[in-house]
Amino acid sequence: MRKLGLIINPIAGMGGQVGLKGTDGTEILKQAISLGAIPSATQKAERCLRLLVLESDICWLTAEGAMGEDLLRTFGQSPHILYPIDRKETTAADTQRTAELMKDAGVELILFAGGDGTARNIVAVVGTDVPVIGIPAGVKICSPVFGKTPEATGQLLNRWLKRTEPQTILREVLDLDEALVRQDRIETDLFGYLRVPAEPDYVQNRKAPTPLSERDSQMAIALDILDELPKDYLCIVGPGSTTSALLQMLGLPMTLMGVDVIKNGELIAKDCAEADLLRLLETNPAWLVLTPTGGQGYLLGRGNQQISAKVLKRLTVADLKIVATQEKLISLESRPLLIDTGDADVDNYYSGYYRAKTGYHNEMMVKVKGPLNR
Amino acid sequence: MSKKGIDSHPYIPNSVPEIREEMLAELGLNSLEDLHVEIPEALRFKGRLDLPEPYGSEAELSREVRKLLKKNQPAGQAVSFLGGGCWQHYVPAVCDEIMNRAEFLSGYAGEPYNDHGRFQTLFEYESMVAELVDMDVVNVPTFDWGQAAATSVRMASRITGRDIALVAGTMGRERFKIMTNYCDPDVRLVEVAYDDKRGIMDLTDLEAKLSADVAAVYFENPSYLGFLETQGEKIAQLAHDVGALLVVGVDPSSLGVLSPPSAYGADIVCGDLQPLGQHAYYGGSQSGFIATRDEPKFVLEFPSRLFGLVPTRVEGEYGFGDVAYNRTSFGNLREKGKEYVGTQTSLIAIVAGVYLALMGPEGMREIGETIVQQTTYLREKLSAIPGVNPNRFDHPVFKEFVVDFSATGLTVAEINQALLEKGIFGGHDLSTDFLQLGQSALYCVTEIHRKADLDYLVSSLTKVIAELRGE
Amino acid sequence: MKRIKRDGLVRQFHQASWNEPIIFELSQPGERGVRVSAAEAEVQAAVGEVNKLIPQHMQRKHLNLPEINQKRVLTHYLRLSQETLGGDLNPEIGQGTCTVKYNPTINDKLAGVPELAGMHPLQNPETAQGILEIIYRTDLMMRAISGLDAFSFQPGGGSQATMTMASIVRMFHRLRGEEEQRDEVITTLFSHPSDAAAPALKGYRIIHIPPNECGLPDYEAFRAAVGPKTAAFVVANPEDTGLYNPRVAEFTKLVHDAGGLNCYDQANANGLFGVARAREAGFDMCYFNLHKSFGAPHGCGGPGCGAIGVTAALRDYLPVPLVVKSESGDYVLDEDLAHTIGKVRSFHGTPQVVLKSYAWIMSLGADGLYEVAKVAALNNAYLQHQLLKDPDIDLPFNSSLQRIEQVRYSVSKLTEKTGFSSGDISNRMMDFGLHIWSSHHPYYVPDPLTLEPTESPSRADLDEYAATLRHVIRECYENPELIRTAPHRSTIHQVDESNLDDPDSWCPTWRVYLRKVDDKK
Repeated sequence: MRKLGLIINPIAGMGGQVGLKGTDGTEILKQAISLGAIPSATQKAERCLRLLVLESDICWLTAEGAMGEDLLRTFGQSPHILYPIDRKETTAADTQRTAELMKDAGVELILFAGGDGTARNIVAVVGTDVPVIGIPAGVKICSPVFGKTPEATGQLLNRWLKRTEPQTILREVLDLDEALVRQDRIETDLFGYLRVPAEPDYVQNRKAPTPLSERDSQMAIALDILDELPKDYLCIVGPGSTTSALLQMLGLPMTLMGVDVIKNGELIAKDCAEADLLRLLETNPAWLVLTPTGGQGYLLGRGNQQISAKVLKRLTVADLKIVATQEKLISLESRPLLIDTGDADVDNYYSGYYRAKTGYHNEMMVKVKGPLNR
Repeated sequence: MSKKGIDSHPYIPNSVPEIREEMLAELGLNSLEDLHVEIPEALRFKGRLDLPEPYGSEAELSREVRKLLKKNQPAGQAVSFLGGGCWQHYVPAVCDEIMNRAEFLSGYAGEPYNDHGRFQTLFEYESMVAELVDMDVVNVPTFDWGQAAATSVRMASRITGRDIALVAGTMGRERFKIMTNYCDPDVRLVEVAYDDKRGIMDLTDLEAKLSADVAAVYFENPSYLGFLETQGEKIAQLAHDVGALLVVGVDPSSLGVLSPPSAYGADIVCGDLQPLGQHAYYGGSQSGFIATRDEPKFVLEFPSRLFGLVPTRVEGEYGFGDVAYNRTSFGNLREKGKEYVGTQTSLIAIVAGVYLALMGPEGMREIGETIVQQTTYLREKLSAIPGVNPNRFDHPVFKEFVVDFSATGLTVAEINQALLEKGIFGGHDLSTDFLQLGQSALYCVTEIHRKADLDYLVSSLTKVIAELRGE
Repeated sequence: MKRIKRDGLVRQFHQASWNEPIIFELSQPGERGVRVSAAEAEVQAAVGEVNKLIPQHMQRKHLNLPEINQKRVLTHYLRLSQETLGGDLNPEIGQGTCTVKYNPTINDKLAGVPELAGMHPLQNPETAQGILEIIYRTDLMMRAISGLDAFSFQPGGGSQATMTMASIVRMFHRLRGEEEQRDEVITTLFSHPSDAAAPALKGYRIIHIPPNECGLPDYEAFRAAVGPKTAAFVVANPEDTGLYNPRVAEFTKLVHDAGGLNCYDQANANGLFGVARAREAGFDMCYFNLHKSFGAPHGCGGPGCGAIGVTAALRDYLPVPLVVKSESGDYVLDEDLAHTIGKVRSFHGTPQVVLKSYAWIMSLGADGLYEVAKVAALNNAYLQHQLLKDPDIDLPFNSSLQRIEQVRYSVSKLTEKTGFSSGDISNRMMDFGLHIWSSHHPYYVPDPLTLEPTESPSRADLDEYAATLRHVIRECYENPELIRTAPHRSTIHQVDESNLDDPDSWCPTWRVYLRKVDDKK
């Protein structure tokens, strides 16, 4: 039996219907319902499941009622209920607890319907342990952990579940600060990484080589950096799966969400704070290796605030090495990468064109500029 | 107006003025000049292309091109002893028929469904050549033997992480040039000396040059100069002892009678498909294959397509697809020597499959026997001509051998010129490419020759040499 | 009998489906497909047994080829030919970037005459004056079409031609003592992947220029990329989007000013004949695919020819030999090029392909080539006009810019609404005897379709193609199951590719299949 988990966040997307930009928090939800919002996540999940080829050897694990059970029953499935719900309204805690139980039950994949907030709840308990994919049903869909549409999610899963060796990649969970969004300020931050099913775009007509897989690209980028990093230079490695490949390549433990520093192949500082970096920079020349976050493409100032304006003042443009897979840069659709250090002079100094490393001896020109809202 | 199009050309349906106008009208355009507006004036070519006036009819085109081609004196219509990598063999009519099928000629890059036939024919070619070389994996072919050898060496370099290839000093000069350019700047070729008497590899020199930096040892069998490299097993052992791979280039028409290189330890086998059902086309029908064992370390280094057998959603159907296609991006290694796929020589491989299916094991054995016997016959006969030494390399040969004319005091060029007047294309002149061989030529004998042709060469040579020497 | 109504435009079709066995399954021991000449008795008598002529340890022991009678071999291959939908059988509009145009039958016939087929490449050039004259004349015609000064026909295809250009770039800088310094090649994201891969093979670091919001290479990004490390700029124009970079001369000038060379991938030249040339755009080298733009067939993937042209200053770097005309008017081979990179393909490349292109040009002339370019652009614009009537088909980037000879469309709206993407559409198009292609990877345009009609289809062909594509898009909504399980009327049904990446179950040859799969049953 293959075990799959389904989590529907029934209130996801309700704020958006009535112009509220999200439903994080009970008060907002009440406000949304009072304005006439109806639960639509179930409908989105239904559109996905309708396209899913439900093989008989699949056993669904889910939570009671609206969080998955009801919908699965309409598809003639007899899901295993991991988590009872005796209230009418569900909360973030319900999502978290269900996801946790699924992880413990050893599911092959968690399929959820929701938005960035739901992804945030799941990553908090699941981390990168279980593959997860989202059916886009929330108001905020910034994290690249969702299928393009409910239908596309279904078709993607059809292909992925058929693989003998299904592949996954790490993708960022980004979320906006809803309080700021409601003031019309868009600020995303990074909340972790989920392991998401990777299905290549339908490959046909092989007249040219395939590009490297995301993982292989990250390793190739790491090789390129390591081959060129001058001796006795510090290599300050920013957060992200692309940058952390550097540490993996050296067999070093990595801090996916933090800043590590290596020198001559050794890890000399782990999960650094601003002060650590400043101290190290007093005596050492350094390269700073950064990768942009998906969504808005922030290079500095989101999820890596420890690399502060003060730290950057100790470095030069030539020391900044941007790394990103070609796919990631392409997903930004030619938009510039953003820097928001809070210090306009620093932001300006680091603005301009860079060669982002996209593979071994492979680079792509990218533009870097100050924050959007200034 | 200096520049204009042409109306109602048979290759351009929408050059019919009425249709063209209607289409333009539907697009809201006034004339063809309203197209290409994105090309700035400064980059526009202003004049009319300086080309010859075209022929007015297909009949005229056909007549004029044939007239030009009539200026050729094809080897195929003479008694020819030219080889050197492009060999004259009989091309069965069924091969020509398939080579000229419009479906295959105009096929290109369809999917495993609408181009099922292309996939199956190429899978079958792979499978039959695999039998011929006794290996498990064969690629959809590359341009020619030289390219196949160059890629084989680059594969070996990637597998071993080393950057020197030792190559037999007797290998074909063209192939050497192709390999040198293709391997530059990542893999360096170093030639290994040969035994001056027999042509075979000088194992002392090989041992001296082998090191932990050597990725591959490459030789050809039969060698470019015709003799058999009989020390295969020993060379393989020496190469393997230092962790290098053995790459062997082979003439597939020999493999009905000669043991395949895999039998003496080759790790990668390459060669040319031209002898399997192709006319010479002035050199245009060369096609290179590469074969290895079915081990991931080899398979994953092929830059070519490898068609594999797969099931379909309907039982009772074979389908095809690309084996391990992601290998074409070459993993996460430093992409030194990354190669590429593209249009190469598929149609020649399809026909090579037809040829092998027609020949079968018996046909391949028989053709090899005929060639060996006739070659031996000619070699013996030539040795009777004063000053002519067909045993420059005193070693068994397959279908080619070096004839040394130095003792006649004549140049190969002079002799060949005189032979030409008798309707004979003498062997390929080696005096430029292999200076150390003096005035030598590479003679090639295949199954297309008859005893009368061989005897005619012997008598003509005898006469020609005597005449040129004023005897 | 009622006359068939043909105004529906969508064709009733079913491809041949013979369920033909793999050739080894046809083997009947004892059968044979062709008889081989044996050495005559006197020869045999003179030399004796074969096994005495070959050293014992080098004699072949066993050979496992199929044994099949001649008729069955012919039938087998004819059936497989019917299962191959070449460009002569369908208007190959959907094969963008490949310029699959009509390959005139007469040219194939001419190339097959014994006066060419029987020519050995090592013949004395005196005996090869016909083919040498054709190569020489084609060289002159290519010069006129490109504005460059010398051509070699040695490369066997586009990627080998790009490799040749990259080899010349390396040799050029090597001889100027700048090889170490200049280790970068710049290309664009919408150029063919080989424009990056071939220079990478020659050891270059590759810098990609992304498109700007119009889909054209970003000039400012390019300016920031060019410098003393620049060895060359390798680019297609129009790119695979069909968009022509109008500032290309500014790009090439930047490269020249920095000491680099400009290499033009002219795989997309079909819409440019007589309209724009390599020289005016500032290129030092270019190549044409004769098997694409110049009417020679693709042959299921070769043999083709990537004719490479250079300016006079670079002539001596070309691969040897070149065909030149001697003072006496004979055509001779010039092996003596001072800086030659050597050879890239054996002998003279693929002269039969050169001949086919020569004949193609000689059927059209200057006016005909101009008409080719104009009608290729007209057909492309007409097809675009028909397709954009469908709300699910979009023109990415600046939609007001005219495309030249091809268009990269996006069906991302369809994908968002139905979950079906380019590949699903492709599978269903086969049920109508048509073909459609997405794009090289990685996809920059989401859910892409790349269509290049060329000058060859008639208006009726274009209408049928557009109607069928729109019909298939409708089916994505009305009958998703039909799309998901397509094709239904092609030669075979959807393949299960799951064993192709697994070393324990992939089957690259029949013998491997027998060992891994069949024996286990």
